Amino acid sequence: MGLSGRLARWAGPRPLLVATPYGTRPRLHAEAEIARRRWHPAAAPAAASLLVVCGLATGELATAVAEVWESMPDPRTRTDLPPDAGPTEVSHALDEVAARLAGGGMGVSGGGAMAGYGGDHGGGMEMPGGIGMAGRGEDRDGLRLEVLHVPLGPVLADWPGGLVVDATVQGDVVQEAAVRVVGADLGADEPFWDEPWHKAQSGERVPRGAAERRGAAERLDGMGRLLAVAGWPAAARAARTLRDRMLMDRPAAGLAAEFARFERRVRGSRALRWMLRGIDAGQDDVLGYALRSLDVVGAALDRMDDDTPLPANRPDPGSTHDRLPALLAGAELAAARLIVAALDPRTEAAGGHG
Amino acid sequence: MPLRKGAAALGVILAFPVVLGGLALAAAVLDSRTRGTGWAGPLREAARLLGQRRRRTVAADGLLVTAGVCALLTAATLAGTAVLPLGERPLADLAVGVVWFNAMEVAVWAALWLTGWGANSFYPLVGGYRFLAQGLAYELPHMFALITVAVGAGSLRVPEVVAAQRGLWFAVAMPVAFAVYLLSALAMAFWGPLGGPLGVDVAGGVRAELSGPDLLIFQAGRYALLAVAAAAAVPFFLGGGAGPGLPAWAWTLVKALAVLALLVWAGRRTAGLRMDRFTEASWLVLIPAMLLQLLVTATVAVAAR
Repeated sequence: MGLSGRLARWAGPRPLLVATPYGTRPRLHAEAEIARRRWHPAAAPAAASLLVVCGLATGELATAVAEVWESMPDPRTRTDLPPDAGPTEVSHALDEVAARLAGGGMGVSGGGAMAGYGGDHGGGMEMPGGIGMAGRGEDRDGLRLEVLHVPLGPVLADWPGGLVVDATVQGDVVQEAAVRVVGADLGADEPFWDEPWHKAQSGERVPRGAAERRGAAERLDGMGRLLAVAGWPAAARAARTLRDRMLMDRPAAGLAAEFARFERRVRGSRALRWMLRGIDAGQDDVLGYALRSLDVVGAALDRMDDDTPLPANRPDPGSTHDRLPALLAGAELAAARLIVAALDPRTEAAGGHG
Repeated sequence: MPLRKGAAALGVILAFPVVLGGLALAAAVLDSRTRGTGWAGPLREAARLLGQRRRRTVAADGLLVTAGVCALLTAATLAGTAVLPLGERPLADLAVGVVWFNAMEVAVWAALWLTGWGANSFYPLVGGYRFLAQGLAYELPHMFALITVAVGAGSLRVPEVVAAQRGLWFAVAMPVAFAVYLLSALAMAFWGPLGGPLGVDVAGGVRAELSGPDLLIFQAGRYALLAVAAAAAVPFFLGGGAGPGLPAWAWTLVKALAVLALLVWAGRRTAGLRMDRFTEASWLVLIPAMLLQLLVTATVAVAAR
């Protein structure tokens, strides 16, 4: 291995994670492992050198992943983590791709124009390069601005796996939105967050505490996305660390102290309150959703040692997909992302949506 | 004698890139440390980007992107010539040093807009929009803060601004201006809570389509800009090189690093500020507060004359 190889090995990869509807388990392991290795996750394909597909990308999601792969610069490499991958498996897979990348990566393609990341310009006059000019239309504030048709997702940092919002955008204001889920047609696997309930349903004896733990971790996972999208990466990291500890079956007493610190920090942030208040997310504003998530985690912590068996029938969490289009219309892009993060729609078992 | 003068001038010219580079690297290292990617994070990222091929989007305006990316580093460098700590005098001791600093830092507007627009892609474009909105929110309070400094010193020349603080640092004499300056320093370097133009919610915003050397230069420019914004607080508000024991250049470096550390630390403490909310506060609170500060400072300056 020459100097450039050694340099590449030392530099390490910059991973871009692709979440899929049934890929929660490998995603959690990959996020934890990437943080442990001090790799810096990329927010877009251009900066990334390693594509980590968490779970199976099928159907339209596979096409989107292929496009993202095409738009990554060389040297690059890709790994597909199976939906049931455990921590050691994930760690091995990352070792392997890091080594491959140091050796020059794979899929070295020739030059030529690459597809723009998500920028699909609609209608209008033909341009050299084969893309139409954006058309214009009246916007929310009575200005005539370019109308762009942009799919938000499915491959986007801190975004629910498989979710696609087909947005009509002027400036950075979403005028219209349609919501669908891709890559969820594979309904064989149970959703990761519902695992204790599924076990209980199939007759196994599951302590109630296990379901509380899983539910609290799901809330913290959503909090991580919300805080990241709210531009507070340090707090997002804290939420994810807590989430991982919940799932590692740490004793509830130690977790409670850690969570209390985290909760104080989030509740005490005036900037966060100022920015999240009043963004309509349906039943409540985004701030209300965030604070309620904290309440739910706090309550779950009290019941984590509950050893009574879990009943077989779970209360239906309900779908939030149908409410999204109306809420997103008229929102600025930043607010739209906050609304999606607050509602945190489940993308598993949503095959009917597309 | 002319020879010694020449050698001294050469020394100052050579010291400038070393100081600028050192401060920018310090900013990058502090940033990486607080982000959890370790002390060596920036050097590893630089090594990676040097080996990464450049990639451009369909029908991108390559010239605009290149101009924007290079303008960021250039603007930071040129702003630094007037304010960076190099002993008693900065590299370019202009009669209008304060205005020069402000003018160069306004070039950042163009740099970000060109980079965001040129990529012909949605997220960088939104990042560009965001920075323009941010400019509207922070630039006026920022300019009033600089004007207050100039009024307090009765001069636009940076060494004279430093000399005017012999009795009392401007950070104490005009605390509102100092606070507003620190906030606008975060805004002009689109850092921390004011990092919306590069937000993760828009897939990295302005820099979403940058790769390889483009991204490396862009990042270097951003860290240099933050370093210069922090360093400028020293001659403007913290008495320049004044201090016991150490030589002037050492004191200015120590103070610049302290401000830099404060900015990086503060940037991690709080959620991002969106301009649809922040602009209102900026115009209704920060600008009136700055005008009051300016009035007080001007009254004191006239009375002292």
